[in-house]
Amino acid sequence: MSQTTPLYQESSDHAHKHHQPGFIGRYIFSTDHKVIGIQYLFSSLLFLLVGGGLALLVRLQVGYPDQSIGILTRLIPGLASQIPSEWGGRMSPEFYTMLFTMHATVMIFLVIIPWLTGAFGNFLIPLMIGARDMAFPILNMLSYWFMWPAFGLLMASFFVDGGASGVGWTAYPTISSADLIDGSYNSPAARHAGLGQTLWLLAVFFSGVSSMMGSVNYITTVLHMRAPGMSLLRMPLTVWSLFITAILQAVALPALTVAALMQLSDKILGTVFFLPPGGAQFGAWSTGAGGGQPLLWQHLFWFYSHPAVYIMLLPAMGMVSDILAVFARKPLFGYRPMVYSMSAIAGLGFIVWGHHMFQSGMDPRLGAGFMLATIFIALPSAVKTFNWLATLWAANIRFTTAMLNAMAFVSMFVIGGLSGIFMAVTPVDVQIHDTYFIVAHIHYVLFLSTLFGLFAATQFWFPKMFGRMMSEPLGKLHFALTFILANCTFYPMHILGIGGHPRRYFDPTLYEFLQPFQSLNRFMTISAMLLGLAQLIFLANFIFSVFFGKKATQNPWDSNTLEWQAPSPPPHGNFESIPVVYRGPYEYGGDGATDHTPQTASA
Amino acid sequence: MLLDKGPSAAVEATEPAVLHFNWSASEHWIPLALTAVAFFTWLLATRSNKFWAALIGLNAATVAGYTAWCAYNHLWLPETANDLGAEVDGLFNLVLFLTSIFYFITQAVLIYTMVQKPPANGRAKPVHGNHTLEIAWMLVPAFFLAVIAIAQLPTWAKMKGQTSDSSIPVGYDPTTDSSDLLVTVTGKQWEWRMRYADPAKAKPTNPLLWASTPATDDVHAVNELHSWQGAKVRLMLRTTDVIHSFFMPQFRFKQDMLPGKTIPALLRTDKTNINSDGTERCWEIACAELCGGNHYRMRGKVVVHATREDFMRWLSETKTKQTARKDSLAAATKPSDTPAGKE
Repeated sequence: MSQTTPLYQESSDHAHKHHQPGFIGRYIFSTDHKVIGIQYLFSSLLFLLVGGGLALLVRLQVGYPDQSIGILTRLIPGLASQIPSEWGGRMSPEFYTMLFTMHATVMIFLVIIPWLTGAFGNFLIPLMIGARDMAFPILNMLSYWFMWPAFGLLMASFFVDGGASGVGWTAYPTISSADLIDGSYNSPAARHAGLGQTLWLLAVFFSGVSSMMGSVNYITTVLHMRAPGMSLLRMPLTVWSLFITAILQAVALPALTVAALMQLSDKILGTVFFLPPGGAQFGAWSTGAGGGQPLLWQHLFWFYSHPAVYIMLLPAMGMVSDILAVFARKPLFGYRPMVYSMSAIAGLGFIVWGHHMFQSGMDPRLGAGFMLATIFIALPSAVKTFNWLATLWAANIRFTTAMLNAMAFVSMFVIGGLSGIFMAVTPVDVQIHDTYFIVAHIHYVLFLSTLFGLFAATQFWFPKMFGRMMSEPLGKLHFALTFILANCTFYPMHILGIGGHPRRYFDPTLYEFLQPFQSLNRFMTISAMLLGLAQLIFLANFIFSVFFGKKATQNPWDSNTLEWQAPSPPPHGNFESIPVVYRGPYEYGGDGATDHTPQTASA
Repeated sequence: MLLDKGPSAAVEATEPAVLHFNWSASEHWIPLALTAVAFFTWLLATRSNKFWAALIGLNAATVAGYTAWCAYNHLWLPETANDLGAEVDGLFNLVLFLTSIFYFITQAVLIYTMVQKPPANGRAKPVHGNHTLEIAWMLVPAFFLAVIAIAQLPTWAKMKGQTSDSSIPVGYDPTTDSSDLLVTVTGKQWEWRMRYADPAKAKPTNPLLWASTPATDDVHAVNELHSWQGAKVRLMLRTTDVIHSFFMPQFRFKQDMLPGKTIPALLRTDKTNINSDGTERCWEIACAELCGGNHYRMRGKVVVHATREDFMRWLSETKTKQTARKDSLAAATKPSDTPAGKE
């Protein structure tokens, strides 16, 4: 197994030069994995702006519930028509539900997953295993272009009657699934659960199909197209993490994709998968009798969406592991335990979904089982943390922007991981479930861990992508501001959650027990605004460096892995000749002629 | 008065306030001050990388210090209204203690590696791993995790099990219901409708059945849950439209209501919230599952009377009002649409 002969390796080194595609073939409908990766990267960055803007509006409302948004309604065409006039210049509660729903949807489906697996998965896998391209280049192109219906539908849904979906990214029935009022696109259950939710479901479907095509491709590529000598246990952890993620995605994603279709058919065809036998009454409107179960959706949804949290974390863990080793100038500590613990996270990740449902009305005996699995998923995460720290121990650290972001990842992942234990303890979860504690937890995992991993990875692989370096001073400034302000924005959410502050509240000042927390809410809002501004530094650095950055050498970081043996940027076909691998990816330090030994160096 | 905010209030205020900053308020200037700190750290770090260690280290220390400050100043778990709540808080503190140890160790090691002296010739020793270490740092957390996992089982059983002291939660058996008071709580957009079985009368033989088929002498209330000190209250949680979640922070109680299901839950009201001078401490009910635009307005209150007699007095007053309202409605021959009379 470990020495599989590559099946699809071209015999001739010049085979890739046989066709010369035109502009459209090269940059738009390209089948080159690098171009597709960069396409994913650009669209993720674009939607990062959209998702971030939505988040700032959410924060504005929670911090200052009586605030006028008159300036925004004048600036953004069509916005005023989305808010009933009796709210006179303020946001309406329905509009607010749409903001946080779309913030989560955009960030998860259009930013984090495409950025991690789409951009870096595509760009890095063939380069790091020494292949010329993906196993199925056309499928790869299709996987990117299947994202566009998802992009289009979600963005269009902001402008339809009733606005975009406002039932939470979890889309729990029956508020989301109630069938539409006869002859209209409106839902009886909520203003933002009509056409907007219908489009949301279609978008999730398309993004699911897209990710599925990507996964199949990654798995096949990793298994069959590795360069000679690149055994599975010589693969860099980045590739391992993307490989494991692809398997996770391939197994879990169909559940969500199919569930989205089921809910869609509940909405527009009148099926009753998620409608209970007694139906539901919404004011004067009552649905017919059902026969299904809202709990069924929750199981299907979390069967995907819990693994999805690992899909959104594992690749960042892999990339951070590589970056830590490169800038520690020291081998990664415990390579095999790292691989095993990632596999353990993926495996256990399939049997912990019920911890999202401790208070759902699921049988409490099941809760105890899910609790055990959830508690013990902390174990591989702890092992990874210790191995990262041991990698840094007695190392010769280079403090580059990528390294700083990677070290911040380690520091912040500890907080995100530990806060998870609180929620795994079922009786404690009763108090903090669906409060700001979970909002804090997910942002420590997805923002302060994954996004820092992505900042690190972008800075690190930018020279390979564009042949130019990103600015180090600007990168470090962005890091310092983001690190402090993200902590200011998200850490106090733990305190709110402990106090019982429910999430998704339009106006917390209504409650006496929440009064003491309102100044914290304002604190987080101001921090979030500054945090949003700080991201402009990153974008400016990115765009500026694409055109004017310092020219990159082939291997600017003195790294060992195969992608640095290709020119920067690599040409179509990646390598002059397919490299032969003689050693593992982390041979740094030691007393040799140089402090690093590339994987291609023969004994 | 707090409940009066909403669309109607917005109509009166013709021009809502434009963002009004009070710069002397700490929540407004501290983020700016910290931004400045980050900026100067960046400037200083161009001279020495030690300042990066300072940035990450100060952040880790501030997080810990700030958490302690919040606990000390009661920006923390709310008052507990029953013994079970105190048990939950005990578990919370146990987890906080164990995770804190892990937190301090990992952050300290990380900071240390950032300030450590580089290896002598600029070359680190190429250590690839250590089998013994790997085993050790797997077994130690495994032990603590097992402690946490086992410590919580009895409390979970008590919270959800409702019938026995078994460490595995046992399903609800209506024939052995030993509660003192039966209340059906029905969530609907956007209020809680409470229906009390009169505890002075014979208990319904099957509480589950009673939850879906109201008796004529049941007492109705909206957004108000009443009980008395020392009572065991059986809540039957239902919803007519979407998923709601019945959340009472002081009781450490939260349970979703699922369309199509009646979910039995046991609530122990061990403490009263009526002070000795007759005033009432505010214990609120909130919805914890998104249920539409007015999700945030499903505010209710809990009153735990000092004695059963006080509770019965409230119940009979409510019942009298209810009968009067029903009579006047019948006289007007209009279809009943008052919230309390609809069930």
